Amino acid sequence: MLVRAITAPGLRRWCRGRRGAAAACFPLGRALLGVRGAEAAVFLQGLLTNDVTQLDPNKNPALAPAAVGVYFPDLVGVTLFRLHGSTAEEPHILLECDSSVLDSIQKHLKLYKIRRKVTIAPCPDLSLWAVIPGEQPGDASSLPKCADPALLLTPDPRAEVMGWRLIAKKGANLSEIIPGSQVGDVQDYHRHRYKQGIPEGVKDLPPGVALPLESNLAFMNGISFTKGCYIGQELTARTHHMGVIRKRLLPVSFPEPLPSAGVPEGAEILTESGKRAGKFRAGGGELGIALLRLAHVNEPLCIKLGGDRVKLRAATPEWWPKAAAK
Amino acid sequence: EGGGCSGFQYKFSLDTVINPDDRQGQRDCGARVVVDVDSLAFVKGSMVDFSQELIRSSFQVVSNPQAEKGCSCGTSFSVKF
Repeated sequence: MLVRAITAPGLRRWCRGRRGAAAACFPLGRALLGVRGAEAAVFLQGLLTNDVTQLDPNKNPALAPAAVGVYFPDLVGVTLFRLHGSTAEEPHILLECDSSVLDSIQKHLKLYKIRRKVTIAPCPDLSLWAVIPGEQPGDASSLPKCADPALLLTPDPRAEVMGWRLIAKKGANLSEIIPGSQVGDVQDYHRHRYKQGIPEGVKDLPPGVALPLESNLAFMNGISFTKGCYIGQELTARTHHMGVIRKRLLPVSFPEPLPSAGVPEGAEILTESGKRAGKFRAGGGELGIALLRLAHVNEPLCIKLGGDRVKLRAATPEWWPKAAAK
Repeated sequence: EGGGCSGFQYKFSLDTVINPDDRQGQRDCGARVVVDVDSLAFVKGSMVDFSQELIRSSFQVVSNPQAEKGCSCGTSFSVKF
């Protein structure tokens, strides 16, 4: 496997300026599946919502994103990474996904592989990290140069607030790769996600239940409306162009302490007058993510737990396109 | 091949080469349809015809007993398991 160091733009700026703006690195327990072979990109293109050709190093050598957020219709959201540096190398694409669906995704890919010249295999020797820049506002695009043990350091394609994704060999020392960074507790990473309203994994995006558009996949750059067919494309395209999306996943918070059992997934959310406003999806502590009717987002909401009414508040994420944040 | 709006899609091409893993069918007029053995599992029992329509004129799989449903343009299909 080719190891390549990526120099992020603004390197000099970063080294000169910052003190105390330590980036936090979070080890993610997500699985990495490798798809390699001459037909890797073409193979995936027919199965996913996003345009895999964006990963082609030839198309836009300066801009080619190394990661593309996609969604297997009926399966959970995955992010793709390009490992090969040029078209001279054999295409090698990595998919990051929730560990619990690794087998399903492998089966799904093998079912549709037929005669394509691709090999599909998990990469247990690699580890995935999220790198969230420190509290300082400003340049999320600048990070110190990453050294050898890292294979790839690239902005998270979903939203700028999610910082960077890092793929390194298992057991790599993060402070060698990103000097000045600190390894954080993955629970803080999840809190950050829920605060921003970024769904990830099977709890936030249950397979067969979560719909791409309601899950804000389009806001997270995960759907291409100009590429060819994939399973579910007709419904996705039609809803986007003609339908109205009435419900979306939104970050919620509970201002009052919760019972120790927490909030059950699927709990009904009501408005003050008792109208159905949505369903709680998943969360941790006083934060979470819920599927809510957009009409009720700014109203005071509650969930009935046992005999009590637990208050909750929803917020429209800042990273949503302005037109949607009505 | 895999892909398309229903999961699998038919792919026709004109060829002069027959490979060891190909299977063929022939009509009296001399036209031959050749399918590789992997793909055959998906299209066994299908009828192939040349179809002239507004959307296109081409060879099409006009009925496939293995297929559960198909897309409206006829290129993609899903399989009964």
